[in-house]
Amino acid sequence: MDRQAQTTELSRRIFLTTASAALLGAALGGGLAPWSEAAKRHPQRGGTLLFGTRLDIAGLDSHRNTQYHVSHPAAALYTGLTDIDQKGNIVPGIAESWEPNQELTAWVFRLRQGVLFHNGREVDAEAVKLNIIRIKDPAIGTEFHHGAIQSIKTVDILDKYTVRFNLSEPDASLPANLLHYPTNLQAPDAFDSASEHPIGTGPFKFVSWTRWHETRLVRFENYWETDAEGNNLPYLDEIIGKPKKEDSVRLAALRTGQINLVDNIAHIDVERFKKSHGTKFTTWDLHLGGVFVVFNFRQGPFQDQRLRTAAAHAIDRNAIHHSAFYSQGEMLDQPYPRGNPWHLEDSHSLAYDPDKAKALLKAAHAVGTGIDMICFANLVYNRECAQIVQEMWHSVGFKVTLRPLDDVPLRETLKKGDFHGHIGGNSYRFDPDGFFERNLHSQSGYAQSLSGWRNERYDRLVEEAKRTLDPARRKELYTEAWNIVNVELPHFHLHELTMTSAAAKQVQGYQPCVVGPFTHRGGGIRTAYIET
Amino acid sequence: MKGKDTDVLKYTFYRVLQLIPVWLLLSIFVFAIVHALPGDAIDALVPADAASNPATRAALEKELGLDKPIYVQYARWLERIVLHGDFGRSITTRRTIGVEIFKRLPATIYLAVTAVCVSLLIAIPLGTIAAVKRRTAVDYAATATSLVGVSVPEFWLAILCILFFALYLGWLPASEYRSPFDHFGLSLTHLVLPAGSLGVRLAAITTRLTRSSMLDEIRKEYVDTARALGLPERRVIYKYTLRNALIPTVTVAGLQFARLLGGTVVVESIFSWPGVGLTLFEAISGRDYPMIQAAVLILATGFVVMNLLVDLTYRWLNPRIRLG
Repeated sequence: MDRQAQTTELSRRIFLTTASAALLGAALGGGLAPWSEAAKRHPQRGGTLLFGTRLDIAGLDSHRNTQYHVSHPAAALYTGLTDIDQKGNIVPGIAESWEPNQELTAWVFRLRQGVLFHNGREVDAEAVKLNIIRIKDPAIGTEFHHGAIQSIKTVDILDKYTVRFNLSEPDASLPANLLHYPTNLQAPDAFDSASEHPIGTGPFKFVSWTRWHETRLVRFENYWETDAEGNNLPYLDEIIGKPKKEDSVRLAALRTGQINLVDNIAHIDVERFKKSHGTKFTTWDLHLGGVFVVFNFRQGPFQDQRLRTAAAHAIDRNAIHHSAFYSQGEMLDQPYPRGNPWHLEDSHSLAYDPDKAKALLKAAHAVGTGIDMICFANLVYNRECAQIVQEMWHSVGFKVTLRPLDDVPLRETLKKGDFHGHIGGNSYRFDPDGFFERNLHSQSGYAQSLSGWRNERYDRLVEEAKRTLDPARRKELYTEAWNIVNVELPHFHLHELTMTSAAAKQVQGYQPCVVGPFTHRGGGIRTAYIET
Repeated sequence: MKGKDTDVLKYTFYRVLQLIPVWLLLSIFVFAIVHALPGDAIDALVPADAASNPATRAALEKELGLDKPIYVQYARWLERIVLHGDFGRSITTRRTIGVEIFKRLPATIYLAVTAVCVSLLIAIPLGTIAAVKRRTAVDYAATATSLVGVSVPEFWLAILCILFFALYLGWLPASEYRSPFDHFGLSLTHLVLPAGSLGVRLAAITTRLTRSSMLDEIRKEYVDTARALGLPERRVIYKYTLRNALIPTVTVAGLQFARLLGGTVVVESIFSWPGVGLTLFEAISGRDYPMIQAAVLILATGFVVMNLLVDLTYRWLNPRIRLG
């Protein structure tokens, strides 16, 4: 057996062992008893969660409109083949176990029996297949949905509860991409009415939705997950999502008792809130993703590496840390922060050195070069980062015009490549391939709409990382790939994207996932209840 | 008198008839302007790789009716509205537009009517007193107050009111809409801050107008005549002068109400008020063309109807006004 095959075999064994251990541990700790045997309600836990969020969904069909499991209460309607635990690790969900073939080009998933959709239809292999086909439909699935499952070529039904995904390429990240965000499962017999009354498999069922007013969900009595004592989850009777765009209004609503949980407190308010109201509310600091500068390789002055390098040297991450993020979170020079299993120890990013930046510009005869920078108009942190970067680039000799744009004009501008620099961001990727491949691989449509950068060596490294399950080997490959990025600079990371969530003390049993989701295995809104 | 009532009826009938060509022109204008907006509905709807795929694009254009010439699209759109009351489906939510908009109209009307009433309750007495007590401390105070009211942005006032009345005093809820049909008392408590935020600014504009209009009327001969005949001053001012002075105020109030139907997006956003303004704003942001068309057409129709009602109100205020 050659080294790669041996490594793959070892990795498969590790994976299967880990999955089995998870299975056993969960069985001992609760959570895997078939619903029919454990259909009893906790006698004391219930209540209505009034969940104030910054965002609201654009539509109810989860295959057409993203249901963000951090800030969209409607995400509670869904679960996926895999799930996450409180630490953000991928664990069994509707699928009890999974195993790949040696080449990682086919994955067999075994479904838990007796899991129901909200309309009573059982989740079986056929339902899974129909969902994947629907998500892959170019007229239905969003870019994000497509990106997640792009390696799935066909789906085979092996038996009622076993499905095989045949991939177009080896893909170690597939389990992470079958999480409910974004690959959630809807009842196939309700696809046609998904925009009016979505049917998922999640702990809560749909009641009503009025955009930017209210989302009402009620407890799904036949949800499959149970607690350690065998009581059915969730405990809550109802969730009412109350989207409130304005940060100060959302916080006021929490403080006056109009809502009892908020997803997000504005960075500027966090310290003051904790100091003044820490005894009355519980807060959680969560890691959401990252913020970075994108340099356009398709046109403009940043096609010159000297100018990109100068621009990178001109950026003081410390200033961004204090001014845009109010000293919350960490400065980042890569996608994952310290402490995360995918943090790359040997990454060599460019340091803040404005003198070097000025010298580079002078040497390139580029002092006074006009830069057209775009950013998201509706994201405060994004706009503030853009303003700070604009100022820093001014100080070394660029002339920067900043254009904050709404969502649709921004997408059009990115697609046309009609910009020089862009302040981008990413939500947390449960598998690093979700960042390294999607954001920077030359064959990724998304990457081409950002920097348009192409590098063969980088592509090969990322492709190789997809072909192995060995985390240590993958990290090695990503480190080498990231150091190419550090030199060529299609992206330049700035800071961690953090979020502080808060709940009234009456909300018990609730703890969000460390990377943001309010719904996760054995926790979050599944184990929350209101103390009376 | 009977003859005059017949005149009013005739006038009303002709004005309603006139609405038809006006509405048709409006529909053409709305349709044309929405389709002239920069941005592409297909690009807004699907991923870039799908939008650039000719087969996918063709299928979507067919589904949305965008593959036909513009005049055919217009004719079909008009036919669906006029004959079936069908405004189509939102590109973003895929829900029926008519249901979405008409579900939100009660909240919008509730807010708009209350805001205008608040503004009139403040503006008419304040403007009248300022005019009657011209060049006194009362007049200066009223003028200064209305100047401040006009200058303060609605969103700033709204947030300030929330912080003060909801957070600091705890008297009122911070946000949200409650239907008056579910619980009238509770709905009023939720209405105070948003309607107040809007009404104060409207009142500032209307106060100045009422004052100015009253001053014009007070100077007229019939007022001197009424005083010379020994009528009580209160009667001269409130029964005769004010009634005539209210004509421009009524016009402005009517137009303000019509404007509020679609123009309260900021206040709706702050208070999570499920109104038509916010829906229209989100539709524009998302290039949801069918929703934009429908919402603008409905709001513009409301504007035209309000104009008619305002004109008819003149007759009631001053029967001597010739109509037509």
